[in-house]
Parts: sequence; structure tokens; C-alpha cells
Amino acid sequence: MSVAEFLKGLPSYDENNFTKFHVDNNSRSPLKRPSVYIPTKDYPSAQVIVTEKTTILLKYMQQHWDKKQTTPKRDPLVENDEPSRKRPKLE
Amino acid sequence: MAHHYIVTAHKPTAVTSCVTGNFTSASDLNLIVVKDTRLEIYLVTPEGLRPIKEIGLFGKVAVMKLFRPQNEVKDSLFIITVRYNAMILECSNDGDNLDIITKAHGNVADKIGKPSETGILAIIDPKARVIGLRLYDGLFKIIPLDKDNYELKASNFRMEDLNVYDVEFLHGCANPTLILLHQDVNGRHVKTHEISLREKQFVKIPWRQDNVETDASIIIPVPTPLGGAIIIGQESIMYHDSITGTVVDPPVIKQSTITCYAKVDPGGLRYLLGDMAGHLFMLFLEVETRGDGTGVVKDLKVELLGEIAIPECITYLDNGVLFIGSRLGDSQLVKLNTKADENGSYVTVMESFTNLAPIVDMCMVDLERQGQGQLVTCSGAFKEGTLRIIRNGIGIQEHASIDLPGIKGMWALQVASDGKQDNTLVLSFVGQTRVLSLNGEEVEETEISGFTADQQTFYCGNVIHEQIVQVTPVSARLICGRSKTLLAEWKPPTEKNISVVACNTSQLVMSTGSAIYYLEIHPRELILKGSTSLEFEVSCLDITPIKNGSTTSEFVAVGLWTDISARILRIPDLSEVIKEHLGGEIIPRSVLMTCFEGHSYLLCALGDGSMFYFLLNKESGILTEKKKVTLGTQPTILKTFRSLSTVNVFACSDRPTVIYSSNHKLVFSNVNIKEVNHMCSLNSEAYPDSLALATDSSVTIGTIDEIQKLHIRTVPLYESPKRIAYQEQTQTFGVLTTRLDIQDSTGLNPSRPSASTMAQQSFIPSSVASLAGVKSGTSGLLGTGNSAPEYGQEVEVHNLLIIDQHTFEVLYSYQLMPQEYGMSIMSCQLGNDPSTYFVIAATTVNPEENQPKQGRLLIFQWHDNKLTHVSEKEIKGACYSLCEFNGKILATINSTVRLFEWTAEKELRLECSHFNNVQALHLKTKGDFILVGDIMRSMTLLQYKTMEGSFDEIARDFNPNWMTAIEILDDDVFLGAENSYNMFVCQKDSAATNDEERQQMQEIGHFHVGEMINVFRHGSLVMQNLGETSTPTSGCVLFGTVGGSIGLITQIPAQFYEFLLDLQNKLANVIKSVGKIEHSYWRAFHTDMKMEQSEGFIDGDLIESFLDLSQEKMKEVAEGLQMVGEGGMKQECTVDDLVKIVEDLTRIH
Repeated sequence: MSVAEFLKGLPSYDENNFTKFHVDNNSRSPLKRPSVYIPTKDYPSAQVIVTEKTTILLKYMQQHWDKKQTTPKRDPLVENDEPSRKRPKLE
Repeated sequence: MAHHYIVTAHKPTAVTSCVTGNFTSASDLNLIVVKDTRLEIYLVTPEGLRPIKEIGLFGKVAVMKLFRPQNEVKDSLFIITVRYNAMILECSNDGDNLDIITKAHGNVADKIGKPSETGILAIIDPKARVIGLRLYDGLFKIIPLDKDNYELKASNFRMEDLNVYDVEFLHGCANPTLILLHQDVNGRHVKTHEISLREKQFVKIPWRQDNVETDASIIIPVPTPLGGAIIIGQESIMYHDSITGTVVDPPVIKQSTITCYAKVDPGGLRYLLGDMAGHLFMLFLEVETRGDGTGVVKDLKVELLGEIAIPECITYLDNGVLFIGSRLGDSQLVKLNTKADENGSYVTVMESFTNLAPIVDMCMVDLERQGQGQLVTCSGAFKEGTLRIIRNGIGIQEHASIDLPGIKGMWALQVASDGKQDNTLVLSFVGQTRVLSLNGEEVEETEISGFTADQQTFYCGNVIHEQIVQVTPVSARLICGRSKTLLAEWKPPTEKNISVVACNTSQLVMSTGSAIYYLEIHPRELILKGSTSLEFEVSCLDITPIKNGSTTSEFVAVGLWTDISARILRIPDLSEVIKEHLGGEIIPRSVLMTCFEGHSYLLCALGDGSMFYFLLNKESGILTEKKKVTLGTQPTILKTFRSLSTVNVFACSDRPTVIYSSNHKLVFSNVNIKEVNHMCSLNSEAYPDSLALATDSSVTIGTIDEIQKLHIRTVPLYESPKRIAYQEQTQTFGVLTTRLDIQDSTGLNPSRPSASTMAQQSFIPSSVASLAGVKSGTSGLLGTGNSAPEYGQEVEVHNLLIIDQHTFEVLYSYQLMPQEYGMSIMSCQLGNDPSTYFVIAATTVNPEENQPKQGRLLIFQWHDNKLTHVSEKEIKGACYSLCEFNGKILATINSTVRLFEWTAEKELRLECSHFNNVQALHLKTKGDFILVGDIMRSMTLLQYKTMEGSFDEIARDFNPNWMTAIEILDDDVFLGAENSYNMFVCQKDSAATNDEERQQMQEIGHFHVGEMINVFRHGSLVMQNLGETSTPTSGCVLFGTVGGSIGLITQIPAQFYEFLLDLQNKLANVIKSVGKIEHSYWRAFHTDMKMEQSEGFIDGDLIESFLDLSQEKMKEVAEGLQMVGEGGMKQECTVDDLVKIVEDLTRIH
């Protein structure tokens, strides 16, 4: 495929755009800077962006704490069959 | 306590981001451009880009994205600043008024977290459900775009991929899905993450592609129906549709690195790619339709379209027109053509937008020695490298020019015309007069029968009763304006020739030597009404009416030879009203009575370019308040002209100046043309409201700007300028530059012609010449372990260029040794040696060393169009800066500061050193004091002890500031700029009671500039010492930034500071910030370590915005403001007072 074919049918939103373009070397100001926007009217913000204060570590632990609570690994009421590693001091 | 006023003289011009969309209304196609802290909104129209608004933000934009919120018809703008202020902006537009509404705002910074080295990445889901932010390593922040909640809760997701190079949202996914490019020990990989907003984490990885190209850096998400993404690498481009990848490695892209892209079609089949070398490519996805109607990407095609400015961002506008945003060169509007031009390029540049960025170095020069500086900057980089000459003044736009040498006078006339427009131009030469008729744009020579053509004309003009006056050395002639016939002629009663003349529409005054004749113009008659003889010869005359609406004058102004005086004579008896001796030996050449803003003045210009001016009493003719100003160096001629219904005076000289009045003060503004001998107003059909200006060789017709502004002239170098120094004695600049050479089969060759390869003369070290044929690393000159560069590799070649100050031609190019970098340059005189030298520092950069260990100082003399290498001194490291210091050379070399003296044998000898820095980068001196700026240890003040021949560390700022530039403001006050875009002022405390306190510099002011400052220079862009300003500013330091802005800092007294601070606080209240970032937050000194409220600085940009407020808002600002009035009493400040003060402040730049 040639480059010319590549460049065919470039999108056009308004076919008039740029049709009357010409840079006038004599023009007094080729491209004026836009006027500066100085807002003095206060529009209350519809929304504020707030960022979560908790660190992801805390969040992670909280989530897993919840899980732990629902399925506790050890039930203190259930008798443990395994002999305890800690042995009472006999002497 | 020192107080400072800081203001932007030239706003940033580097384009960091650009987008196209429907922002100002659903049907408007807008281009939005970000230049550091400023947004510019343009409308795409048939005529091109139309500027709509410029918006200043209280923050430097890190990322800008345009998006279409759900159920909306136009786009909103999401912006995040480098200080993590996020905002969503919407435009409300009722036709006349355009308002930018901050829909949402907030700071999204985290207290902990390591800011990512690849910068802030911000993306918006294609369905506008969420905004994604990658701010810190290992974290991804999601802002859900709920319309109903007042709070948009940003939450952090843990992201196991640490080194993320790019991230995007995929199109066509049920849940927002990220695609990211990350690197781990095994290489770079592409991975996708589906987001669960409910669980606030990534829930699954829909697909991944491990081990993509190791230099891949850009992801382009492809819109539906195709979906998937394109991964752009250094050598290859891949499309991945979630199942398989298609890879191509087109050779055209390998030469450089693709840095930006723009989508062309909404469907996402074509993309424009731009690389670091300024190539523009088109990427095309070739799609094959399968049986079920869905398309699959079969192949990727890449074609080179042509060359553009080195792009930072690209956006497609309409009908094949693109905007190329550049940080390193001028941004462009370009058009794509389906047919290639003669160079094989499919790209035509339609328009270029001046960009000074990055200002790497600059110097102040006063080329005409007029007290007005011009700034010459090292701007841009690589093929966009330029020198820019920046000066303040009034601009003349040339419309036509005629080659005509030797013009001695020029007048515009209306001859036989009914209209009010001029149709004739009379030109006077030695011994002859020529008449040009202006017919539309046509100019042809003609004759006026009543004129003498074989004499020089001294004056010519339309006068009352439709007549024309011509005055030659022989006589004054009255000519009929209709029939062009001679009506009357008056000759002086003596044999003497007329030497000087002045005329208005009804009165004529002439002199022959010391005799003066006053004539009135009547129908068909010139009547002598008075005459007198003065004791000396008359050198200049004027008879301009100064009373409002009056066409006759009551006074004649006279300048005299011999006693060098200006006098006012009363009409008609020519009796003397007042005599003012001007002093000196320079005769007055031009005298003019004029009225500005209701005040009358007498201006009297002398033969040396200086001018006296007086207040002239309209009734009595008395002269008061004598003042003097220097306008040029040559005899000056004063002429009045009207522009926009105000009277202005044009001073013709080697330094043309426009004199006008503002707030009842005279303003002298430079004009951006080199030399004007004569001028006249011209208002013809083809050239309305114009001026005709005569130089030695031609006549130019042009129009004049209403206001003074910065004029920028560009000298392209096509290679990177690094450092500049001006040498007044030889009228040259020394510039250190870098160009890129490419190793090919014949050796190292420049990649393109540039300043150093096109110089008139050049020097190439012999080792390079011999190296050209060397294929492998056999050259001992390169040092051990270094082989010749690989085939196709780019190698930096450093040069010293000698550039003519007038023509900016490269006179000489001196190439440094291979691997040698040009670090710094200065022009100086050394010891008792009368010659002026360029001293340059070169350092050998060896990639294996953690810092340079070897370098040399080279001393050159530019003389008789020859560059002589006078001396050389080996140094042990990189010399980051050089200063002339009492006829010696002061240099910072790696961590040391060293002083070298110049011996009688023309050699450099080390005298003393100072070691107490990490990396001494910056150096400034004043008297015996030396200010050193360290890479991370802020500033240190040293004193050179002449007797001991040693350095003494006087004081140090112990704050850990990473310095980018330093300057000495006065003996005790020092200015520093650091790399978090802040500026601070330190003071040496000589009065401290103990040594410890004395050794500590006190930080007395700090301010957030918002831009990285590369260089400070003392000097001013406006005329100095005019003596007429109400603003008590002292000293002026200019700075140049990476973003291409130029600012200035000046000292103000405490009382004025307090007043401006009140005004600033009032303005910060009245002017609402876009994005709702507080002004005090924006200007607070801010680094990773600390944040402190701004102190000791007034934000001139905010102060100046007062002038753009409505009258009503001005009143609101003025209310309750107290200023110190005459007699030192506090008084209420009126709007007019404020306007005057602020207008005066705008005139310092």
C-alpha cells in the first residue's frame, strides 16, 4: 500500500476547517496570544476529590482481619489433640 | 531584610501536552495546549486556529486528558499537577462569556510512597467510569467518576508491578481494565488488570504478554470493535488483541525512538507517530474481515511521512491538519498531503509558534550601548537548537520597501485629491527632490509642476487653502494643491541661503544663519510678519501648535549653535521668552514642541543622540523641569506622528525610539529596526495609518505596534547550544554547541548540516580526522578500553563557535577532541595582558568513570578573523563554571573551586583552591566575594584573601538545596534557584555576635516559581535610568527557564513590599483560581522535604492581573487598601492609584 493511500480519507469534522488558511507575512500579529482568563466569579465545586488516608497495608490487614473473624483458625473451646510444645516446668 | 518582586516577562512556551476535542461547546472543535502552568484554548476555524482563552493555573501541569463524561455532549478536562492537585474542568459558554468551571478538585497526594521515576501517569476509562493514576511505585489510584456523590473517593490499589512504563485503559471491557507495560528482572512485559470498584482491588488478569521488546515504552489502546492494544518499541511495533500478537520491525523507526502518538481515525486504524529525531510516521492497522463479520488485524504498516519539529505531543485536528507540540523547538501546525513534495515529504508546515525552551544559557548584551539590554539565549536542542535575540520594543511591520539611497527628507502629501488620504511621497536628496505618486500599491515617479526638482527640499507639506508649501535652500514656494502650479515664492532678503525651516498648516519660520523670518500663509500669498537676528546661527526650529484644537502657534522653538541653547520666541515679533543653556559642546539638531495627555513639552535632541526635555507652559512659553535622556549615539531628528488618535514622537537615529506619554510620564520605547534617518506619517489608500521610514539605502513603509513587547529573533543553529559568552572587543559571541554525528562505513559523519559544519572556517582535531578511517578501536587517543563507536551509533561532537554579533554568521568552528565535552565558556582579560580571550573548559567523559577525572582549560584569541589557541591547562575533572576574577580565572572543577593566575609566559598557574562541596556547579563573583552553588549543599560564600592568596569560607546556607542557578544580588544578599522549582534568598549576617551565627546564611525569603531556572543574569530588558518612575525598584536580575519563560526579580523597599503584599492578598481573594488551588499554597516553598509559606517575594504575575479586572472588581480590590501618600501619611488607595502603580510595575519588563 502506498503512502498516498494511507493518507486518503483523513477524518473531517467540518470540511471548511483550514480551507481559508493563509499566513499573511504582513499581518500585524500572525497569531495573537489568547486573552488571559481572569475568573472572579466563584462557582462552588460540585464535587471534591478526596483521597483515602489509610495505607494499603492497613487496608489489607483490615480485610484479612474480617476474614479471620469469620473463620477462626483455632477455636479455644475445641480440645487440641496435638501435644503442646510448651511443657510445664516440672521442677 | 530584603524584599523582592518577581514577575514573568515572557511566559513559558514549551508545549508539554495537547489535546483536541469539543471543550467550549458540543459543536466547537478545540485544540488545548499546555505550556507548563498555562493552558491555551484554540478554536479550529476555516481560517486556522483562533485563540480563545489562556488560563493560568496555580500549578505545573503533569498530565492533561480530555474526556467525555457519561451522558454529556461535550468534553471535560482532567488535569493533575506535579504537586498532585487534580481537577476536572468544564467550559460554560453562553456566546459572549466563557467561564471555566471547576467541577471537581482535590489533592491526591499520599503521605508515604515513592514517587515513580517514570513520572505521573493519568488515564481515563473510555466509558468515563474511573480515572486511574499511577503516582507512586507499587500503588495505583482509582477515582470513580460518580455523578451523585459530593465526594469522589480516590482509593489506592496495590500493584505488584513496580516499574511501570506506561498504562492505559482497554476499550470494550465490561469492567474498567488496565493494560500496563512494566519491567522486572526478566525484561519488559505487558499485563492487564481488571478492576473491581466494589472490592477496591484488581480482581483478575484477563491476559498478559511476557517479554515484549526490552525498550518498549508506549501502549496505544485500540478502540472497539478491534480492541486490544499496540505496543511501541524501539525497533518493533506489536498489536495484541488479547489472544495473539502481530509484530513488525520496520527499519524506518530504528534510527530514533518514538516518543508520542496521535490517533487519526475514531475507529483507531491509523496513528501518527513522532520520534526524537523529528520524524513523523503513519501506522496503519491492516484489518481482515472474518466470516462472522468481525475484523482481525492482519498486518501493521509504518510509513515515514516527513520531518517535523522534535515532537513532545501530536494531535490530529481536522482535514489532514495536525498540531505538533514541541518542548525543544517551535511548535507547528502541519498539513498532511497525499502527494509527496520534491523532497519526498508528505508534510507541509503551515505555521510555527515561537518557543524559547529550553533556555539553557543566556547573556545580556547591550549591542548599541544604549542602556537597553538584549537577551541572547541558547534555546532548543538537537536540530531545533537556536540562538534567540530578545529585546523589548515597539515593532514595525514592514509592508513595502523601495531601494533609494541618500534620502535627506521625506513628506507625505495630498495632491489634487478630494479624499483625506495621502497619495504622494516627496523625497529630498542632496541637490534634488523627487516625487513619488502612490496609486494603490503601485509607486511611480511623477512631477509636480510648481516644485523645484533640482534643489534639496527642506520642508514640504499641505497647508491651508488647499495649498502646498515647498521650502528649498533658495526659496519658499507656495503651490496650488489642485492645479499644482506655483502661486507665490518668497526669497530671503539677503544673499544667504535658507538653512533651517519649520512649518505648520498656516505658519512658516525660516532661518538663514542667525536671521529668523516668520511668514504667514495666506491664499496665494506668503506674508513676512516678523524677523529677528540672534547672536548665533540657528541649528533647528519648530512651530508646532500646542494649544488644543489650535492650528496656529504662538511660539517658535529654536536651537542654537555656539552657545548650545534652546530658546522659545514669541510670535510674531520673535522676541525671546526664555533661553535654556543645554551645556556641553554638542549642538541641538532637532527641536519639537508637543502635547501629550494635556501637558506640553519641548523636546530638544542633540547631535550625540541625547535629548533634553522640558515642560512647556502653553500660555507663557516658560520652560521648566529640564530632564535628559540618551536615545542613540547619532544626531537625532524628532517627528510627530499619530497612532490610534494619540500623539507620539518618533526619534530618528541609529536607535529609533518612540516617545509617548502614559500616566503623564514620558515613555521611551525602542523600535525593532536598526536605523532610521528620516520618517513621516503616511495614510494612503494601500497603506493606511502607516509610517514611511528612510534608512541609508531604502524607504520602508510599515505599521507600528500599539504597545511595546518582546521581539524575538531566531538564529537557527541546527545543533544544541550549551553555553554562550559575549566578547565586546571583537563584537562576537562564543558559543559551545553539541551536534550528533553518526558512525557509518566512512567513519563519523554529521547527521545533518549544522552551524559547526557550515562555519566559514573550522578546526577539526587531527585525531578525529585520522579516526574517520579507523574501523576498530586502535586509536590510543580515545583512551584505553574505548573502541570506535558501533555502526549507526550517535556520537556527541562538541564545538566552540565564534559568531558575529551583527550578522550572527558562524565565523569559526573549533571542534573539541573525541569524548571531550564543552562545559563552560567566558570572555575575559587576564592579568596585565591587554588581549581579550575566550576561555573554554572541556572535559573528557569516560562512561566507566563515575565522574570526569580529566579535562582542560583552553584559551583562545579571536583576532583578525583568526582563532588562535593561546594556551592550555590540564585540569583534573569537569569544570562546570568559569568566572573572571580580578584578572584571574576562577573555576569550579568537580567538587573544588580553583583560582588560576595568568603568568607573563601566558600560562595558567594554580594559585589556590577550596574544597568543601559535593559538586560545585555554579559560580558568581562580586569584588573579593565568590558565591558557589553546590549540586545539593545549597550556596556557600567565599572570600579571596589577596594577601594570603587563599579562600576563606565566610558563610554557608546549611539547608539541603539542590541548586540549578545562583546569583549575587548585593554584597549581603544572594539568590538561589533549586530543582523543585523554588527560589530563595539568603543573607550574610555580618553583624552577628558570634562566629557560628556569622557562618550561617540566613534564609530571608523563599518562593515557588513553578519552573526550573537554568540561568540568572543581571540586566534589564527595558531602558534604564530614565529617572521617571514612581515604582521604587532597584536592581534587576533576569532568569531563563527550562519551559522557555523569562522572568525578572527586583528589590523593593519594605514599605512598598507591605503595600503590594496587601494588594496581593486582596487579589488572591478576588481572583478565583481555576482548579481551586490556593495562591498561598502555589507560591509556598515546596520540596520533598518541607513546605513553607512564601516570604519576602511579591508575585508580580498576580499583581499585574489587576489590570485585567473589571472596574467593579478593581473597586473591590482597592477597598480598604492603604497606601503611603505624600508626606508619609497613610491614605486610602483609589482604583486610579492602583492602576497607576501596577501599570508602572508592568513597565519594568
